[in-house]
Amino acid sequence: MEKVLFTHVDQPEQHRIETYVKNGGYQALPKVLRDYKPDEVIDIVRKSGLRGRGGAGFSAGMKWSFVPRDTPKPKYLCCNADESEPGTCKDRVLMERDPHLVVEGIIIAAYAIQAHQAFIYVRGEFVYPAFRMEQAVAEAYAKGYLGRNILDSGYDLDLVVHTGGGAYICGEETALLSSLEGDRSLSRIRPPFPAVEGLYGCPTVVNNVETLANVPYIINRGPDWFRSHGTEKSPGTKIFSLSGNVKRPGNYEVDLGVPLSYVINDLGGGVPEGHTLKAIIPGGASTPLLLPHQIDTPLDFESMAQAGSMLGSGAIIVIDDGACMVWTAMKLIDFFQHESCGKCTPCREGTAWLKQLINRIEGGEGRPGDIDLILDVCGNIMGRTICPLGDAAVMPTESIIKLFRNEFEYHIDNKTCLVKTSYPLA
Amino acid sequence: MNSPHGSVHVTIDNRAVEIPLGSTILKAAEASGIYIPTLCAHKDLTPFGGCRICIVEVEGMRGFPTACTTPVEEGMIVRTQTAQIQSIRNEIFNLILSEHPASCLICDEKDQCKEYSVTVRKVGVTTGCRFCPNDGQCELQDVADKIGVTELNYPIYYRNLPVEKDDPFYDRDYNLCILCGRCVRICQEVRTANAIAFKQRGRHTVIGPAFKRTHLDAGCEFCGACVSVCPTGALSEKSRKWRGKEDRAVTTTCPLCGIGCQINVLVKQEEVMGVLPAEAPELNNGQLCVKGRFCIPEAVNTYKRMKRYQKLEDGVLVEITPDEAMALAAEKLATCTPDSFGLIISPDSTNEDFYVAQKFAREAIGSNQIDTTASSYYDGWFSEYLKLFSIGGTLEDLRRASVIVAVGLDTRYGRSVMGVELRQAMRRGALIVTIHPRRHNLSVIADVWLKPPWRGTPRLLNDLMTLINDPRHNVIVSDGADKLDKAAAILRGADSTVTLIGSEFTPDIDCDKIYAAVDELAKATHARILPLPAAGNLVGSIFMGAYRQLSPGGGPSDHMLDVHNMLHSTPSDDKTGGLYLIGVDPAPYRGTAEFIISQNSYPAENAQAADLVFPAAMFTEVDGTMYNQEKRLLNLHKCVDPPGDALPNWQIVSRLAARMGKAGFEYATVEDVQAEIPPIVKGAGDSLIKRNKIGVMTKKTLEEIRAKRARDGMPTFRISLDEHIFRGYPLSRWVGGMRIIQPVDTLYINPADAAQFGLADGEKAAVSVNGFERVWPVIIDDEQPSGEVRVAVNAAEWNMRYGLSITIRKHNG
Amino acid sequence: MILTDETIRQIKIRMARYPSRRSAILPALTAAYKQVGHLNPAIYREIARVMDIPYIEIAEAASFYTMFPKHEVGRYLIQVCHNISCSLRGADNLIAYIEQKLGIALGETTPDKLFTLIAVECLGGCATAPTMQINDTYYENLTRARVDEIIADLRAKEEQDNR
Repeated sequence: MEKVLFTHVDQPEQHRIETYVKNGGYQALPKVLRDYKPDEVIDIVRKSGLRGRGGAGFSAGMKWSFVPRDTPKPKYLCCNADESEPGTCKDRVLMERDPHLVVEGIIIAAYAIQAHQAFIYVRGEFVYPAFRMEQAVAEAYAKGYLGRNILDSGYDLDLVVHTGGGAYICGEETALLSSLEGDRSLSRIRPPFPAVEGLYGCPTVVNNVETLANVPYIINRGPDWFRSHGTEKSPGTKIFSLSGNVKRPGNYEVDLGVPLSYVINDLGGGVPEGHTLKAIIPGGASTPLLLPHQIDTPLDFESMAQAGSMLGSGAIIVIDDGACMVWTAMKLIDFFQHESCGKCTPCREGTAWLKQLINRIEGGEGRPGDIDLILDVCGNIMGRTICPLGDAAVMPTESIIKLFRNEFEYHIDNKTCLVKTSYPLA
Repeated sequence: MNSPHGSVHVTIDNRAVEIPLGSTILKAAEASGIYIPTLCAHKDLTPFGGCRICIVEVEGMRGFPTACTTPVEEGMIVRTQTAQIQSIRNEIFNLILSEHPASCLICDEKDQCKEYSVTVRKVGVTTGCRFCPNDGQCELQDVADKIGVTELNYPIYYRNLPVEKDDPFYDRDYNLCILCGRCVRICQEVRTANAIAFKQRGRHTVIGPAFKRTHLDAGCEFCGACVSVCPTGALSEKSRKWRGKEDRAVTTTCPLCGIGCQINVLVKQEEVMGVLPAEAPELNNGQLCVKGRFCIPEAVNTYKRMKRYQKLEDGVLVEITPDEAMALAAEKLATCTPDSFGLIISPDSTNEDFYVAQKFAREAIGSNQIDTTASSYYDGWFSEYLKLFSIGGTLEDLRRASVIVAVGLDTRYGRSVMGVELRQAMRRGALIVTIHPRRHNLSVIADVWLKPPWRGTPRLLNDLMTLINDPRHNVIVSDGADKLDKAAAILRGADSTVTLIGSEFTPDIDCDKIYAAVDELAKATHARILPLPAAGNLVGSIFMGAYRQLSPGGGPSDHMLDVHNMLHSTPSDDKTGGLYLIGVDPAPYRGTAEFIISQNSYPAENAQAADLVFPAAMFTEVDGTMYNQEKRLLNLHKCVDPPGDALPNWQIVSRLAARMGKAGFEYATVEDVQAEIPPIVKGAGDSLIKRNKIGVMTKKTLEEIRAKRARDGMPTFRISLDEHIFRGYPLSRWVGGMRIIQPVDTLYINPADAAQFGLADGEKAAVSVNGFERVWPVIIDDEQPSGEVRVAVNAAEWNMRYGLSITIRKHNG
Repeated sequence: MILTDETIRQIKIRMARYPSRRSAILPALTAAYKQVGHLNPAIYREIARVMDIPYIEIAEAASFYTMFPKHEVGRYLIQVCHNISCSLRGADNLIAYIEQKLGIALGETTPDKLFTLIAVECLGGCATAPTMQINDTYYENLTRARVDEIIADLRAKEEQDNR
């Protein structure tokens, strides 16, 4: 299967501009600046059918087209590199090993929306990826790909690498903008959407790293080529972060639409010897679980939704029979409770209750009725918060209870696990 | 109300509503009388959408949008009361209450609770379990009633946080907080004081000043806006917690500075129990400062209030009847000649007080010797100060200004509604230049902060002026040349400028030069000037002719005698005959007159300061009028009766006149007085200013002081004064909280100056002015400019001694 | 003064990069954290002064972001991911192993002030789990042997530095 984004990631000096250029980099940018009007770039990307790789899967070209053309306000482009959802570790690879691809994607996208200031918001823990990005940005400035009058086109763009401070919520686009403005990272009410009123109240586009990394390829090879990968509604390739109980975890780039089993078994080598597959979290910690019989579900936005889950950020977490599902639910909810920003009542109070109830069951102190109370609280959060963090906490929780209710009941009745979790450290 | 974008038609609960485009569903519902419960939403705040209690159903919209954040669209169909909505709302409310003690909401016996709740017996009777100081004034209770919550699904998680009582004026019990964020938002969005914030995140979110700092350290202005908007009992006023709802509220004018904020005085059991801001969009717009919001109940209810007439007998004050007092006063005053009489009235009195007082002096005694303490507060520069009123601006000008220059203005505790205006101006894009010698509460919002060195202000203003006229001009400044350039550029490009004058440079040895420069600057930049006098009715005192040079209506008076100069220039053996002080501390005047009548609401510190004491009513106890700094006429309304024998000032003066057998003082009501006040002379301020002679010192005496100072040798220190003076006394004398937020009796001094005098932190310094000496503990403060010390003292007391030139020495013991 | 001239210079460079200086709050906190190893109110005050932003805005932001320790920690802050992907590959045992090895519990610092051990949320090292971060550096695919090696290296480095 043809790799696209990962074509060069294994080359040792790919992060340096010379190697990037030698390998065909910074060809799309001059083409764009020379041959295309901003709207034409948007058109090409829209035609390619590129969908956001951060989780929501919204059409990138469409998002760009929402930015008002005739506003006197400055416009901003933000590259979302706040990769924090458990299971997701793909953007990091791109930033560390092919940062110029990301930079080139950012410049083209910024040109398309006519932004003269762009940011890349890298999560604070990613010191090394941020360093690589900084280095790439400095190199790009030195070679005239950034700054004033880029490649004599008359187009100006500044790009700032911004680092976060440890908050999953910053990955939510409006919260990211709050954070970038120096505030606590609270999500904002939409409308107005960022495309109209985003950073500093100005039109802003927020795109994921992987989304933007696709852009130079789309420009170079055309929308039809892009559509030759993947499915009709989910074109292109996608990087899947495979983690959990598999023999060969890793980041794998495949065409969208390949079966889940291809990634887990063919690429990842399946679950370790002596174990059987129990469940799959297919799109990052916030997505509902799939069962072993669903392993052939195609990895595209539509098929995943049909199977009752989501493609999400493409983080496939494989769980084998060594895991207690109450323990799994606890691991998940602990994360979301810690990351709730505290603005909306249902999420702030609800995730705290979920954590308390699930931890209580896991700790052998569950009471009859706790399971229904959990579902009740889930119902109180779902769809009732400003940003999707509340939903993100609920979806896996509800799903685990639905699929493995017996384990919860066993826990409450017997004050211990049906399956004793034990994953030794090698 | 016409919206520029027109209006839209929506249907809410089958009711057709027409509402301006851009309104929220909540606004549309309110406009049509449909109740949607809200907790985090507040009319003065931008939508937050956090509490989620106002969710509704909108046809064609996914999920449940919140009414407070969702804008209306043409043809929108909204349902607010479906069974599903009600059930979800109930559940969300349940989650809110899962961390809020809720017995007052859902207890079966809550209605009987109150009558059984108070007991002193240490036995098992029902004592009630309510632990909320705002019981009965809680929006959670309202919402619970309206949406009919009777039971709770979750056990209550009590946060067990200590109740915070360390700061003055209000307590904070965050166990009752529902994190609606109103307090944080009003502090940040409206007040822009940023004293409190959300801390931590998620479930651990709490509200308060950063870390363990007190509100005082966090820059809190104690404006009380957060307390006003808190929907629960988390924030409660110390002075009225547990007291429940007021019996009535009376709207009147706050006289504690010249802004004239409209206040709602809350009255319970015929006592002033609290004050809330009135809406008054053209004035304070729902905001107040610490004085108006919190100080009034203590200031008017203090047990020290004068209730009876008294006379000095063998060194002690003894109570006498009003009749005896009047007789004694009439007898004494009969011996006064026009030249040996003086009347001084507080500039925070009402127009009617001023009018009757000046009439008393002029017609009952035949003397023109009337003055206010403002002229001593502004000392020799009163006329320079008054000049500034001649191109007086209005609040409306300020709200339209594209550039605002704030001269010596700090709005933390006084004039803080002006701080709110400034911050809102900044938000709408106005540029702000402040001129202030030290870090002040506006420095963070200023585009340029010009920081003049000691005695450098006139020079700085002149340099600024030069630069405005000629940007290439090379001005030599020791510090901040780029700032001066920036300020000049801002002023040069301004299309509408308003200059606000605070009291930092009042009084200052260079006061005249500073005000003259400000005046010049305003003329050159076509700016309006809005002086912000500390005195509540300074403008009224001018219009009513409470000065020897002015007659009522603002016209010039023929007489040109000078009561202050008379008091000070005459040898002590040639005393004035009688001095009638209204709302003035008599202590500094003792020894200058044969006898002193002190008419005030407050007692003097020294009981022997006056020979006769008349008890006067407070502003909360009178009807009347005042003028604010914009020359706007404002009304005072009586809220409660005055205590004991106390009467409004004008009434006491009238009675005394009648007792003296003088005709023309037969006023039955305040309206009778008002009917007699002549129309205000057009341009009254201007004619006054042209005469340029008001105030106690002439240019000559000013030069004499400067010369004397030069002889005495440098350094000469400037002293900044407590301006929160009311009826002759610092408010902090009656209001405990004021003593905390603005420590009196402490001297702040720059480290270099302290070193010069060998003073260390906590040691004592003796400060003397012309032989009058006071000793204070010293705090060494980096922010204090060299050449200036800061201490809150009673202005009148100090300026009586022309107290601008002071000497400092270390005090041992 | 806690912040060095270099840190202040860094903060000022950052401030100049954004359309609004408030945007540099997080970068300023990061710069201070890099220098000091943790954050506290005294540091916020200095940042507030350097940036001319009210103290509370600095403190408010800092309190939201959990990456910066708010009190003194050991020279090496060991942050072990305890989320699902790492847990499925032995993160719980990794924490237990380090606890036992250093003789401290989660949240504690070794008496020599060399190591502080905390559990953190997902570090984005899921495909190379279990993952931990020590100060700025990621350590992935951890095993007992690898942990032994890392700790030994850091101790050796410390000894060398002390010499």
